[in-house]
Amino acid sequence: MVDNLLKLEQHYNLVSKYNKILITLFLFFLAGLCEIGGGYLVWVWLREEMSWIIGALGGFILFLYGIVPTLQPSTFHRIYAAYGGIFIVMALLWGWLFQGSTPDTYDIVGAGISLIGVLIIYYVPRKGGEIWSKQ
Amino acid sequence: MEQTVITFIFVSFIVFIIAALAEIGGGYLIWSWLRKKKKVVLGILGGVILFAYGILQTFQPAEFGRVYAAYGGIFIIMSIIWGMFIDKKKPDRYEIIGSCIAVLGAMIIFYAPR
Repeated sequence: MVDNLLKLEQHYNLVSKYNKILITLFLFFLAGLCEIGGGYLVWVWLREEMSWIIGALGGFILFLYGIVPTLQPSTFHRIYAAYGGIFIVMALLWGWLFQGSTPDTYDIVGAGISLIGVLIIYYVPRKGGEIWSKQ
Repeated sequence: MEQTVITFIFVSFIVFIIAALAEIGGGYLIWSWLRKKKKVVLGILGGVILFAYGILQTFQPAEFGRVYAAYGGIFIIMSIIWGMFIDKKKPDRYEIIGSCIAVLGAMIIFYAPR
């Protein structure tokens, strides 16, 4: 596992700054999909009385959701705080796409402000740069 | 009626606090397994806690979106607090400023008069 992390770090260090932003944004997005999707399956199992297999699958996807942030090159609390802002945006998108609740102006302005917060938490360059193993 | 709304918000808030603790705690156990090289048992326990988190969220009202925006705000603050107390890491300037801005966004979504 430690070797894998080192390999991951080596690969990551080879990509351009621009691609690093894309990779980390994609990881945030993937985490959101796993959390909301896994949570939705658990919801369908308990609230709409679907088979327990659906619930178990949801639980497994939630487990995967926990693994995704470990691929991010930063500290635990910084990754999680930034992810909270991504979650706000994705929850609104999910409600819009799958539950038909169209976002109003306040939703869009609020989501935009949250995204600016995420950019500041996670993407302002710091001394020491990316952090992989020194935890 | 007023009383019911206040009770509803209060219950939601408590459930959200517990949910965020479960989500961050479960994630932290998986993090300990993969990043801090701790035992795999911790990772599995983290998975179980995340599953429990999923079950806990079914106690919330069905409406996604706005209620969950509020949860996102609570989640951000608790992540920073978790880092301070569990990892003993003081948030840096940008983490504090960015978190305040992100939480402001969540509050606009949740409290806007409609």
